[in-house]
Amino acid sequence: MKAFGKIEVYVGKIVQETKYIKRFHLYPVDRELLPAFTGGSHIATYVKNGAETIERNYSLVSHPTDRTQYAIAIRKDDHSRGGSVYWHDEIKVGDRLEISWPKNHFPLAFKAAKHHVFYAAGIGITPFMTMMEDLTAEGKSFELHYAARTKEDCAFYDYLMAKYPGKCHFYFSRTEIPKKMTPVTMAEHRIGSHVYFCGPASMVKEFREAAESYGYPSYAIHFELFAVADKGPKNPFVVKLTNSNKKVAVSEEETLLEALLKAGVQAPHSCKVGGCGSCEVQVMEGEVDHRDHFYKDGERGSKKVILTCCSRAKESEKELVLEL
Amino acid sequence: MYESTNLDLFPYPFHNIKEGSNYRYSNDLRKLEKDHTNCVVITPEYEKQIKRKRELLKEQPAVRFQSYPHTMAMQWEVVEMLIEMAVDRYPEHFQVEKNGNHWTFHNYILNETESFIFGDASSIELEPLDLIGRHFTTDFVLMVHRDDNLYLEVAQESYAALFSPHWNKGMTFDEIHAPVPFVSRTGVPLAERVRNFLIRNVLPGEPWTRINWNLMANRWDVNYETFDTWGPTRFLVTPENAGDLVRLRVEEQFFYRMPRSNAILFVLNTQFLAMKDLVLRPEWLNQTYSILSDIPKPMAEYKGFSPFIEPTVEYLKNLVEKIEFQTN
Amino acid sequence: MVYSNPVLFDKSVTIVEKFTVRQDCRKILIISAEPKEADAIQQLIDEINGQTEYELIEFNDETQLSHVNEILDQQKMGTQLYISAKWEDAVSIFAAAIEAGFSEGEIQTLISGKKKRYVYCLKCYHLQEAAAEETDIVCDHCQISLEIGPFFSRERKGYIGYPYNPAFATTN
Ligand code: HEM
Ligand code: FES
Ligand SMILES: [Zn+2]
Repeated sequence: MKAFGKIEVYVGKIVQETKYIKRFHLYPVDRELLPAFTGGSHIATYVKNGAETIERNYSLVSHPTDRTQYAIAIRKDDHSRGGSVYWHDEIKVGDRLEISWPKNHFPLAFKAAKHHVFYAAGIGITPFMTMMEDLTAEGKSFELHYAARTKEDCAFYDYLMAKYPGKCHFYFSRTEIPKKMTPVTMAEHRIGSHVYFCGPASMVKEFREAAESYGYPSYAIHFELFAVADKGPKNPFVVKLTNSNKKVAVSEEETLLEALLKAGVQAPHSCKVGGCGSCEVQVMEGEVDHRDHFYKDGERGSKKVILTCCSRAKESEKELVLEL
Repeated sequence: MYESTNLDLFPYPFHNIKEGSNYRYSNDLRKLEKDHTNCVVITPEYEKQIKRKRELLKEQPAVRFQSYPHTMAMQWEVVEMLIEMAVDRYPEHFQVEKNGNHWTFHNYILNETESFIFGDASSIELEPLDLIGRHFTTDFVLMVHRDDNLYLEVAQESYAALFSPHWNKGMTFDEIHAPVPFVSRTGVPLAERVRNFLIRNVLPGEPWTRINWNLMANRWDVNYETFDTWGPTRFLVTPENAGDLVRLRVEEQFFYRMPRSNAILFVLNTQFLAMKDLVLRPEWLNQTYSILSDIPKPMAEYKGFSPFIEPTVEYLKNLVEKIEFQTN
Repeated sequence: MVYSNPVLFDKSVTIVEKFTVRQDCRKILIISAEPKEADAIQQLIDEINGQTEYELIEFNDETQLSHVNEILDQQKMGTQLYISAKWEDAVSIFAAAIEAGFSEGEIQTLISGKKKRYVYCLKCYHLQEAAAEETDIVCDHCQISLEIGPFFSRERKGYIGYPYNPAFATTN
């Protein structure tokens, strides 16, 4: 745990969790203890593929206080940018890679939290694995609602059944008697409940809207998305930076953050998918096309800010002036 | 008590201010460079400072150290990190032996040894952070991230500038900063913006830094608890004695996100430079004179130096003129 | 009890002059512990006008008040709480509501009569009551002069009392 910055690890074990999901166990090369972490944390993984580095964030699924190793679970997604396919097809036991320290943009709630309820679809189960470990250790109340196609496709099914009897509700859609996970159970949660959603964008949207309609205050609604919501074409534009006195052009091919980093500007960032707010920059002039899922709807209008990892200038705008 | 003698180790506060520009509040956090992430620094004043720190902690335990009982695991996490930083940077001064959970920490500067069972608060007499903190000259605060704010849950503070662990215990970042006229050059309120920046960007493995500064009139430590005694002494400064009485008080601050507790460890390295010593670095003297000549009234009021800012600026003006006269 | 829980003090955001009906909830729970405010309650019910489900709980003595925890614990998400009480009762009902999982934003509190205000002496760490209009006070315990500041501590349950030496008091 000595140095700050990235940590070098090797793949010590690979487990086929389901047909499409593999679990990878990572061990520190220097044999020092790894940092412990909090429930809901993820790591950034940096895999070398020739000259290219594939950077992806994955939730940790090993125990938060196990400092000898980390585990991540990855679902092979043929429609994605290729990170998961590379991990599934190319990564072997013994391979080395770099990872970030564990970071948490999806922590458990604290205020007024009497009961925590998790809604997971598919691989969306991963952040909840460590959250449930922390709550169990603290003796806190929780329940899990988890949707998958079949029992065989349901990662960690046996583990969860054995470890948390009475707390897990499974919904399998491709069985003889299909069961659908719907938001209606949220109407019955006691006062002081916090709800957490993790899954595809459409699922998260449906559950967020339902929670609001049941009168959940916004601080009790938590969610994590794995990818940038696809919100229209990428238009080119230019940004003028007031602090560093630079002008940077952003092409159709890249995000504003990518263009800034390429130009040598020290732009802050973390998740790169519009979910954590780390890349926020003040906007001095120009209209922003917000594409994040970080701000609440009301906030976007009132704050003059942009999240550089996902948002862009409005179509009509040629230039934005940023305080950077 | 102590003043910086090695100016290379003195964290001069205005390095990042453009020449000719004045000082206003801003989000001035900077990410620490790869090889400068270690907050343990041994200056020539180390022993003097430790002695004074321990006296203060002993004389006023309730003023200087505060914590909640649920913070023990968080404190141990800090103990581990500080020991590793110390041993990593100064292996000649600090060493640790680990026999399973039985740890022995050696401080060769003070010739002291601490033995304890790591993670077991009953194996030591003080709380973990209070114990390890007495080996380092810096002050320590743990701000725990809960929901959308940071809460002060542990603090060991012996060089305070209006900081009281006792009063600030349990407060949010926003509550702690409520007395500060915390607005930017253009009048934008900063507390919420800075708090969000800390929460989102001070991440495990990526520490940040900033510098805070103040002026103190013949004091090393001011807090609300003793306002009745130091408040009146501020009126004794004149353009003649400001060189000796008034000191530039600088806090070099470090921010580390602790991975397990999700708290931000806030470390303060406090150093002093007498006004008269500014001549040792003429460029510091010129810039400090120019910056102190243009401090907004609310900021001077808040910082507590409005009773003596005028004689201090007058003193610096005379000093600048004297030096210009000598070099011409 | 969690230390960071809000507590009721004279400037709490939960304290209102008049109840207002909000649309962002499924149920309104009214706890009325002060019979004198029956008019305010009736006005609230008129305003709800059957648009939202509501439940009115009236407490007339201490023993009934001890059931408040049970009632609060049974509520579901989407419930908002309206408290009408004298100061001391409001303090305990508010604390019970927070403990049950309500947040400050979901509670409106109407105080009958006087609110209480406390000052915390930073010289000797003693807490004492101060009248609403007081700006300066002498500490009961250590006799130092205190200037009452605008900052409140949940942990210390009072406003900051800055110790000062009246012989050197300056006006600036
Ligand atoms: C997270 C840890 C932090 C803690 C525990 C902390 C604590 C404090 C305290 C106790 C004070 C004195 C308040 C009083 O007068 O009662 C203070 C002042 C102040 N803080 Fe912080 N602070 C933190 C981080 C920051 C950061 C990140 C910034 C900035 C960008 C900042 C900016 C300031 C400023 C400008 C003042 C006024 C000081 C002066 O002008 O001399 N603080 N802080
Ligand atoms: S980096 Fe997380 S929102 Fe942009
Ligand atoms: Zn007193």
